[in-house]
Amino acid sequence: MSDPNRPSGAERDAAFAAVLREFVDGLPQRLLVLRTALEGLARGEQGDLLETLHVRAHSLKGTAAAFGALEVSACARAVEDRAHRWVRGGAVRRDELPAARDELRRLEQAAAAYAAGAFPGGSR
Amino acid sequence: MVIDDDADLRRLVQVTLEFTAGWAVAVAADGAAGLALVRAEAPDAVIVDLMMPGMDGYEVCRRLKQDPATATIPVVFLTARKRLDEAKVRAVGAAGVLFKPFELDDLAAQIAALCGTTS
Repeated sequence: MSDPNRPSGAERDAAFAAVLREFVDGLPQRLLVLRTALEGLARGEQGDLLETLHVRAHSLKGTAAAFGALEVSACARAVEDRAHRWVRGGAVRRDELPAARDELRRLEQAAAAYAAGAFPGGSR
Repeated sequence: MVIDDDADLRRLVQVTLEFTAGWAVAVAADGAAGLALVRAEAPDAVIVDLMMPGMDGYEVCRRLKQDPATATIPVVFLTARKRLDEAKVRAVGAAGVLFKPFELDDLAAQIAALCGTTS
């Protein structure tokens, strides 16, 4: 006899789908935060933009990996690593800004590709 | 209990542990809120992200181990870093470390193993 208190497979699938939906729907905002931080740094703005770029890229790297978005995770790692080098060096390397923008663009493309395939058949 | 500043990761771990192991999982979004919730609910274990703004996972663990009311609760670190300072992990009294990405189906068993309990 099945346990009436045990969640069914359908309930489990629905719960995981809802969590995945929240992650996918939140990707544009995560990317906007990274883009805003990088462009602010490019304009020479002060404050905690470098820390934001580093910490938010690190967070996305780990969370994307947990969701199986491995390309997103790898691209986020590239952004994180460069930000980390800037943090350790004490300043943004302006000669590296084009490369940083390329890395962020690749991250945006990877996120778009992941989002497009996250819900096969468009079932959301 | 899960303490992580990333809402999506927090929710993923919570749902995973609830549906794969039947555990009731409380969550907190930062170290200070997590410490308060641990003291209020006395969970069986605490899973805490290492890199959080403000109070990081090391500091959360250190404070839990200093408080006699929470010192015996196992603390497991969650991290996306490739390498950690093992001596520092041991020094603060953590039970172990889970590295992202982790296998969701095995997450409860890994936590139980690190905490020396059964899932």
